[in-house]
Amino acid sequence: MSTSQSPLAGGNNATNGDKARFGVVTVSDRASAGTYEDLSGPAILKFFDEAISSSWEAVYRIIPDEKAQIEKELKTLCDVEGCCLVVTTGGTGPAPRDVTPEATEAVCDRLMPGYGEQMRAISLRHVPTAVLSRQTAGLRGKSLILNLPGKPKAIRETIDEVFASIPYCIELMEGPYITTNEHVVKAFRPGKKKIRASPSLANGGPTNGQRLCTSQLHVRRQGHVLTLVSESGHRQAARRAANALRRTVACAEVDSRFLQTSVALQQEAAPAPSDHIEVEVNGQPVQILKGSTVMAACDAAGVDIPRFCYHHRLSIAGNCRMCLVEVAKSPKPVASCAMPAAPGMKIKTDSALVKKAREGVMEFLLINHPLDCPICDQGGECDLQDQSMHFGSDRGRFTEMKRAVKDKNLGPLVKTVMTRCIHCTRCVRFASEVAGVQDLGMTGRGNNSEIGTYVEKLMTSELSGNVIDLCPVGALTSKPAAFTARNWELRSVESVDTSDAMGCNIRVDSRGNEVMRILPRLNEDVNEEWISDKARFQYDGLKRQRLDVPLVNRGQGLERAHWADALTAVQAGLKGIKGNEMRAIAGKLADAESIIALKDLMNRLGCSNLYSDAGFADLDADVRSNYLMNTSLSGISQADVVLLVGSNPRTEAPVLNARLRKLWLEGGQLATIGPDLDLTYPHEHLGEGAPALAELLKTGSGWGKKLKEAKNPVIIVGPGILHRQDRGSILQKVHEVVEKTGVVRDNWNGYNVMHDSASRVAALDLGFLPSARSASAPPPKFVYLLGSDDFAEEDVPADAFVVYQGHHGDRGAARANVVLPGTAYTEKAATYVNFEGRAQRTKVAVPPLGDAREDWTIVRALSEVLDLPLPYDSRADVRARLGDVAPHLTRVGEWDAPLWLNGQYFKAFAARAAGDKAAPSQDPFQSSIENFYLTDVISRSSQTMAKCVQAREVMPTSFNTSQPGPAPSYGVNKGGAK
Amino acid sequence: MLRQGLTRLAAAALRVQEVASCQQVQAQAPVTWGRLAMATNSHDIFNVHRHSPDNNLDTPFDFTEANYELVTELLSRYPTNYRQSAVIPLLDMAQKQNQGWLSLSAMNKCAEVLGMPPIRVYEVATFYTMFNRSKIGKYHVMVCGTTPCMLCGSRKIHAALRDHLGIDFGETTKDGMFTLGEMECMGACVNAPMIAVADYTRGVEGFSYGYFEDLTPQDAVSIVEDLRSGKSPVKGSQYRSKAEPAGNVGTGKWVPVPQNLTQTLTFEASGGKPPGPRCRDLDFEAPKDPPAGPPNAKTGSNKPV
Ligand code: SF4
Ligand code: FES
Ligand code: FES
Repeated sequence: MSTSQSPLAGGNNATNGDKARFGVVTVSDRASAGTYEDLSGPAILKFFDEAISSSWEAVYRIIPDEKAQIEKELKTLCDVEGCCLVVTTGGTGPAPRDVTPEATEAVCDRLMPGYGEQMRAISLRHVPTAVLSRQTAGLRGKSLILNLPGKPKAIRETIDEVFASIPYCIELMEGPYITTNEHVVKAFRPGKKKIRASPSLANGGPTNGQRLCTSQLHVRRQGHVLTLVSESGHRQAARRAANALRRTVACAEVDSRFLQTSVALQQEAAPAPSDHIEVEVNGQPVQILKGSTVMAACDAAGVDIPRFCYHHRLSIAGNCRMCLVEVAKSPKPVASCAMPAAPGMKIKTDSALVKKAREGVMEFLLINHPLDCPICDQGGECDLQDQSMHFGSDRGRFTEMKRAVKDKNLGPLVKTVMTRCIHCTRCVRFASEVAGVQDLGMTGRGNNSEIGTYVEKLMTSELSGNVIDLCPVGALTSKPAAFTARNWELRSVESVDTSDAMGCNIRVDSRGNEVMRILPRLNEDVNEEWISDKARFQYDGLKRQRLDVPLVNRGQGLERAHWADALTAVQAGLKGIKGNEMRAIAGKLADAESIIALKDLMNRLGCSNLYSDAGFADLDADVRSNYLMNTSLSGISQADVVLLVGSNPRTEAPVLNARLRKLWLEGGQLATIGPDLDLTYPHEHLGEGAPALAELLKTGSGWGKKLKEAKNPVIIVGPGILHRQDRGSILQKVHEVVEKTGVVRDNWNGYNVMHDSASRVAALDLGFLPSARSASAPPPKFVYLLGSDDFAEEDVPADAFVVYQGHHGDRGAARANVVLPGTAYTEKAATYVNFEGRAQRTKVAVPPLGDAREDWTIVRALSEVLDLPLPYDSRADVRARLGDVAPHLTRVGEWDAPLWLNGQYFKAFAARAAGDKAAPSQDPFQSSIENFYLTDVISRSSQTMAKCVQAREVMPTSFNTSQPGPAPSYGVNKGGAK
Repeated sequence: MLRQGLTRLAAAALRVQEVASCQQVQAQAPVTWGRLAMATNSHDIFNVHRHSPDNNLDTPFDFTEANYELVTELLSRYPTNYRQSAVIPLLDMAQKQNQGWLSLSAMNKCAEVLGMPPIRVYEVATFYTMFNRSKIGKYHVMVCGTTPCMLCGSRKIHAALRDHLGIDFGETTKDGMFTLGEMECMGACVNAPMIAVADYTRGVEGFSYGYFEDLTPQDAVSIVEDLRSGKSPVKGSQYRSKAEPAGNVGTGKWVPVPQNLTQTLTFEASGGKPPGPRCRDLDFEAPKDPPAGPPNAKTGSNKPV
C-alpha cells in the first residue's frame, strides 16, 4: 500500500521535547477491507508534511464505518496515544452507514461546530453537494477531533484553509507549539505577529540529555538579550513569565525590548546587525554578539553545556573542563566557556568526541571525589551528582587510594568538607571579586591543591553564605542547616527578606512548620542572586523568644490570656484617654498592611501621633523622592561617581555593597564622608562629618568637580544621617551639593536616601508620621507598639499603658501591659517596600505560632472591640485600601521612578533650615548599625547570629595577627586588589 | 588541664590522620623514596600553615637595609600597577635572606611590600616547590631523580647520601647542616647523575646554587663532607672539563672512554664508518662483573659481544 511511502513524521527532528502527535483515521468499509487503497489518509499525511515545520509524528489508522469501533479508535488516539489533533476522513455523508460525526460527538466533551461550517462553506465554493456533508469537530480532553471530507481533493481544499486556526487552538489547549510553512498555510495567532516561531524551542530545543537544570523555566542572559526558555516546551508558560519579567525589567542594561520568549535572536531575512556574528551550533545558525564565548553561542542556540567552574557573575576560570565542545578544524575539544566565538565557527555539542571528552573529565573528577552522597547535604541538588548521571560511568577504573584533605574552619556559617572539592575556584573568585574579601585561595599544586585560607582564619564577609550556593558540590554547605533536612523534603515559598531595607528576594524552605533554610532568589533589579548572611542564617531566631499567646499584665507581671480578654484589656487601658494622649510607634519589621490598619484605627481614635522608631519623625515625606533611592538599584550599576554620606553599606545593605564594588571594578570612583571604613573596595575618604560636605561646595573642590563632570553621579545618604537630630540641616547641605553639582539632571536622578530596616519606606509612603499638632501633644498615656523594640525611652513614659503587638519577646514586650502575638515575615503574606520604593510581598511559608495572628487582623479585631470597626475584612480589602492611600503598594515588584518635582522642595528645605537656623553639628557621621549581626528582634534571637558575633571575637580575622579584630584591608587604599 | 590534654590529643590524632593520608600518596612512589614527602619535590608536607614555635605570626622577619635596596631595584623593573609581578623574585630574596625558607611572616612581609593580599602570596609560595615553607638545613642537597640520572645511578647517589647523612628526602640532619631533597631534571643530564646544592649560609649576596655532576656515590659523600668542613668542593663535572663524551660514572666509578672514541665526528675507530647508535642489546646477558667500559667499546661496533 502506498501508505508506506506516506510520511508518518516530519518537521525539524532535532527535538524530542515538544513533538506534536497527530492521529489520522480513515473511516471506510472498503478501504479497511482492503478492497481499495486508501488515498485520503496519505493525502492528509502529505499535507502535514508540507505544511508543518515544527516536529511532528502521526498515528494512522484505517477502520470500517462502525460507530463503536470509531469511538474506540478516537478514544485511544486521544487518551492513550496522546494526539493533540485527530482528523478523520470519510463517513460524513447521508448514507446509512455514515456515522463518523455521531461517533465524534459521542466521544467529545465539547463541540466545535464552527469547523464543520467553515469546511462546508469552503466546499460549497467548489460543489453544491457540499451541503450533504455533516462534518463536525470537537474537543476531547486536550485533543481536537476534526472530521474532514472523504475525497483527497476535497481534503486539500478544506484543510489548506481550516488549518490556519488549528495551531492556535492546540496552543490554547496547552498542546505543543506548532509552526507552519507559510507558503502552504499560515498559522494565525492573534496578536502574535512579533513573536516568531522559535528555532531553539520549537525545533532545536534541548538536545538529548543536555538539560540539566531542574526548574521549568530558564532565563538565559547574553549581552542585552534575556531569553526565557520553557523546559516543557510550553511557550505559553514562557510567555506569561516573560510578560511578568518584562514588567520588572526596567533598567537600561537589560532593555525590555530585548526580552523575548525563547529566541528571536534569529531574524529571518534581516541582515545581522554589525555587532553580531553568526556561528553554527549543531548545524543550526545563531546570531550572537561579537566577543561572546562559544558557550554563549550554545546557550543562544538553546543547547545546554554542562559546567562547573563557569558562573556568569564571576570571571572565567576555565579550569574544570566540563564544558568541552567540538569546534570544526580544531584538533582538540575546546573549553567553551573560555573560547571566544569566531564568525562562521562550526560548533558541535552532540558528537561522539564531545561525549567522550565529557565522560573523561567526569571520570577524572570522580577519582578523588568521595562517594558520600548519602551523608552529603548537597545530595539531591548537586551539580556533580546531576552531571555524573549523564556523563558518569557506573564503574571506575581507578583502583588507587582517594586523597583526603583537611576540612577548613571558615567560621560559624560555612561548613567545609574539603575532600569533596573539585577545585572549580568559584568560591575563591566569589570572595575576591564579589565579596571583596581576600580570604580564600588555592594553595599547593596538582593533586595536592586545596581550597582554604592557608592560615586558619574567619571568612570576613557579610556575604559569605553565597559560596554555599555557588559551590557545585558539597564541599561548602550550610553549617547551621547541616544534617537537618534533605532538600527534597522541603517546601519552598518565594518571599522577601526583611533583615535590611533592600528587600532581597528569597526562597523560604520549610518542613512542617519549621523554616529549614533560606536561599536567595534571582532578581536582577534587586539582589541579583546574592543575599547577606543575616538574611540567610537568621532564621533560627524565628524559633526562639517567640510570643505565641496574648499576655496581659494585671499587676503580677505578664500572664497568659485569651484573645478576647487581651483585647478587652486594651479597651480598658484606653478608657478616658484622649486621642492626643495616645501614641503609636511602628517597629523595624512592621508590614504595610498592619501599618495602614493601625493608622486607620488610631485616626478613628482621634490620634495622629504616629511615629516609627527610626527617630526621624520630622522627615519631609510629602515627596517620595525625599526619602527613596531615586536612582534605583539597577540604576546605581550605571553610576560612575558615587559619594556615600554617613553610610556603611557593608552593614546596612551588604548586597548593595557588592553592587558598589562591582561598580568600582568596572572603573567607577567612590568616596565617603563619615567613618573611615573598609568597604571592600578602595574609596576616597573625604572627611568625618559636615565640614567635609561644606568643603564640596567650595569652588575648586576636587570631588565637587568630579560629581559635576561625571556622566552618572550618585549621592547616597545613609540611614545614620536620618537618625541624627541635625538631619534637617545636613540634608539641606547635601541638597545644596546636589543642586550645585547637578546630581539630578535630565533623565538621571542621582540623589538617594538609604534606609536600614524593612518597614521604614512603607511607613513613610502611608503617611505613618506625626501630624503637625503632634509637636504640642502632651506625654502619651497610651502607647501602641507595632513590633517596636527600638523606641526611645522618653517616647514611652513609665506611667503609660503600653500595648505591644509583635512576634518576639524583646524590649517592647517586656515593657508592655498587653502583648498581642503577631507573626514574623515567614508566617504572613505581607507587603514590604524596599528603599528604592519597590513594593514586594512575602508569602506564608509556615503557619503562625500558637495563638498568634496575622498582624493586620489583630488591629482589625481590636477595632471591633473598640466599636470602631475598620472597613476591611479580607486581605484583599486591606490591599485595596493600601492602593487607595499609595497606589504603588499594589504594583508588586515594580519600580516607578519617584517624581523629582524639579527640585521645588529644595527651596522648602532651604526655607525650613533657615527657619530653625540650626547649623549642622560637627559630630562625625556614624552608620546606624553598630553590629551587623544584631539589628532586629529576629537576628537578636538567633543563635547563629550570636555565633557570628562571637567568632569575630575569638577567631583571627586577619592573616597578619593572631588577634581577632576588625578585618584588615590591603592595598593602596581600603579594600583588596582588583 | 584535662581539657588541654584532650585538645592536644585530638590535634595529635588529626596529624596522624593527615600523615596517613599523605602516606597514601607516597605509597605509589618507589620504596626507597618512601618518606613523608608529598608527591611534589617540596620538603613541605602540608599546603596549609600551622603555627609552630619557630614559624608563627610573631616570628620576626624584615628585609635588611641592603636587601631593601635590592627590593626597590626589583620593583622598579615592573610597572607600578603590576607590582605583584615581582612576587616570585621577592619571595626568592626573602627565602635567601631567611636561611633558605619562607616563614609566614616572610610571606606576609612580601605581601605588604607588594601591596597584595597575603593569601595571593601563599598561593604562589605553595605552588612552586623551590619555595620552602618550613625550616631547612644550611645546604639544601637536591638529588636529580629523573630518568637520565636514574639510569646513570642517581639511586646509588641517593642511597649513599641517605646512609651517610642519616636522613631521607625531606629530612634535615640534626646539626641543621643538610636537608635532602629530590628534584626533577635540572638540565644537566649530559653529565648525569648530578646533585644541586643550594647554599643558604651566605645570605642573598653570597647565595649559590651549585651543580655537581658526574658523581660517584663516593663523590657525593665527599662533597657534603667538604661542605660541612667549610671547604668549597669543585662545582660542575667532577671528571671532565665540559660535556665531551669522555667517559661515565654509570658503574659507580669514573670510566674514561678510550681516547679514540671521544672523537665523535671522525670515524677512525670504526674504520671510517659511524659507530652507530649505542643501544642496549635486548638479548644481552649482563655479566656479574661489569666490563671495564661500555660493552662494545672495544670493537666499536654495536654488534653484541
Ligand atoms: S569548595 Fe566548592 S566552590 Fe570552592 S573550589 Fe571547591 S568545589 Fe569549587
Ligand atoms: S565551565 Fe568551562 S572549563 Fe569549567
Ligand atoms: S635527568 Fe638529571 S639533570 Fe636531567
